[in-house]
Amino acid sequence: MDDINKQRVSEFNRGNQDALNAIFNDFYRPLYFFAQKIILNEKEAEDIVTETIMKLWELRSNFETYTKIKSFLYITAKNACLNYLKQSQRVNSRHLTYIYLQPGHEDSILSEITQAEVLREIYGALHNLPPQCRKIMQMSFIEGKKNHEIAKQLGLSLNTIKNQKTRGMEIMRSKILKANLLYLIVFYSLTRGSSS
Amino acid sequence: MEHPEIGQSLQAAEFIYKYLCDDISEPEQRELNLWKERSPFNTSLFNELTDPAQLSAALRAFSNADVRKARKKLLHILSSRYPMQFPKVTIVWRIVIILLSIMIVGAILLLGSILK
Repeated sequence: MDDINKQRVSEFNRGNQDALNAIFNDFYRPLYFFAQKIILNEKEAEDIVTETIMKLWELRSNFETYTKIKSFLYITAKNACLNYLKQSQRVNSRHLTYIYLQPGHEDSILSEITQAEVLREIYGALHNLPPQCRKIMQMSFIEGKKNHEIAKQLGLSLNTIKNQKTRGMEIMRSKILKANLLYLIVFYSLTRGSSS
Repeated sequence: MEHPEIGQSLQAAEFIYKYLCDDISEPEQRELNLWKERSPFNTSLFNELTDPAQLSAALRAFSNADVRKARKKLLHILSSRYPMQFPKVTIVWRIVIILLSIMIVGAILLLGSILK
């Protein structure tokens, strides 16, 4: 993974658009999730993330590592969100106060960044599964659908769904995820699938 | 641009993910425990991420972003700010336009020679 990221950074430094696309795919969701939680405004969150990625592109030759790109993205998005809140507080009401602007709430913003990053990792791991398996795991785990609902929606038998879920678990167990996360997924899938 | 607190947040994320994957070393686990103790927000986040229902809800919200629309928007802005690097007409469309132009010119010439 480190080698892939190293290569991606060097291509990004040179202005390669595929590298930009890969970074966009990797970070749009977590940055949007983060910004949306802070400012509670979908449209503004979209704009903040787009501008953040634009700034990254403009400064593309300055980043030596993927971690520096990641830090830049979160710092820029965080500053933009706080600026938006300050401006919004000034325009809307002097009495309106936002929790994230309160002294001592820096930690809460930082923990939102941590959450966005953990979700990015998990989402990425689920995306490494084979297509059909991934679709079924996503529908089950992320969308919270029951086995019979997935079977109906995908036009597959209930047995196929169960087999694909087992396969997904096995792949995750062997390749990507282990004990605790696997436990969470199994636990959730079982509780969702038990009534199917 | 040095922001050590962001670095710590990103590192905490890495440790939590490793914890979930049961792949965390003892020193990392100690660091994670310190991070949890540092703030009530951290403790609460850790509990949230290790609870199946809450994790699932968070992942659902996380996956809700309309990435396709956002990509289109980004490309639109990039092509208006950097038209040379991000041309609106893609290479495939350029080829199609060139071929169509050649065919139209050819058809006109052919028609002209037939009419003569």
